[in-house]
Amino acid sequence: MSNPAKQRTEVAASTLELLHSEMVEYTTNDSKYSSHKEKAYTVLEDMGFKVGIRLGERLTRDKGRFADNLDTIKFICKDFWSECFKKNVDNLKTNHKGTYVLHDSKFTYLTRLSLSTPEETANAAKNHVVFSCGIIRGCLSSLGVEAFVTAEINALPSVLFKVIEISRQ
Amino acid sequence: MPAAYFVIVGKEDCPLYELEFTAQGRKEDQSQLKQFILHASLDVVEELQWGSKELFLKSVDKFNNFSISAYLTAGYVRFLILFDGERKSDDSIKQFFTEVHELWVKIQLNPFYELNATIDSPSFESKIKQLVNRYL
Repeated sequence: MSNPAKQRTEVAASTLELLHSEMVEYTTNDSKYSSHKEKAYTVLEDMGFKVGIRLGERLTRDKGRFADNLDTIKFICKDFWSECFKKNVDNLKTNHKGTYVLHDSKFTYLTRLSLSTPEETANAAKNHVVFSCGIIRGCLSSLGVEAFVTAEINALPSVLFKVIEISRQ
Repeated sequence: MPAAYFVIVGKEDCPLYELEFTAQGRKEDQSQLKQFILHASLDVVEELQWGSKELFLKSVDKFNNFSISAYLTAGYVRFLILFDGERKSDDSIKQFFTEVHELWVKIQLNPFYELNATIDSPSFESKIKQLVNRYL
């Protein structure tokens, strides 16, 4: 793990996109879940959650701990996003009361998504952001921030990820 | 090697891994006391963790002849080590903790490892022992 850059093994990025779209197909078309799409989403999100926890531990290896939740979210927007999706988050809004909105104008898994009509594409897009919501939730959880993460797609390929902290009162 | 007691404490305050070293020839009859002191020092670690952004919180507690050093990861997992009597320099303890952190991340990355479960892997144990021999 402490290899210098030239010894890092690299994998083609397209393989991850293919794997991801296959994962979405596999879970949403499974006959167990055909009647309840929410169950398929739960499975996908759970997968993402477990990946996110491990990514969170791995990426914060050398950096110090974060002072507060805003710092954690900022880390997610920069380092974590560029590791996972090869770009930074374009816009971050917060209401300072525990809700954060991360705006990504060209979300990786949606840029190459296209079905026969725009309506079908918009429908299918909802399936493709669930895994990433899980990854974000897992990473936050491993850094000590419990939150709900949902995604809103208004115009492909831009996505709004809403992070709502679960406050324990 | 000096008498020491090393423990990894997870997020839910449960110990995930414990290892005890005794100086050669001495019978170890204070294990329970050491465990008790380490658990008591978790409170001190929690107080200190909000004050500093550092990962390594040097010596956090002292009890009779025992001194305790702590290291905190970004995921709030704690590595604690209790020394009986003589203590090595802060630098070598810090290096030891950094290497343990690497091993810890590797264990976490294993998809078959259930998070917050005890670490049973014998290779992990042998690597920790090697690190102790090298740095402590």
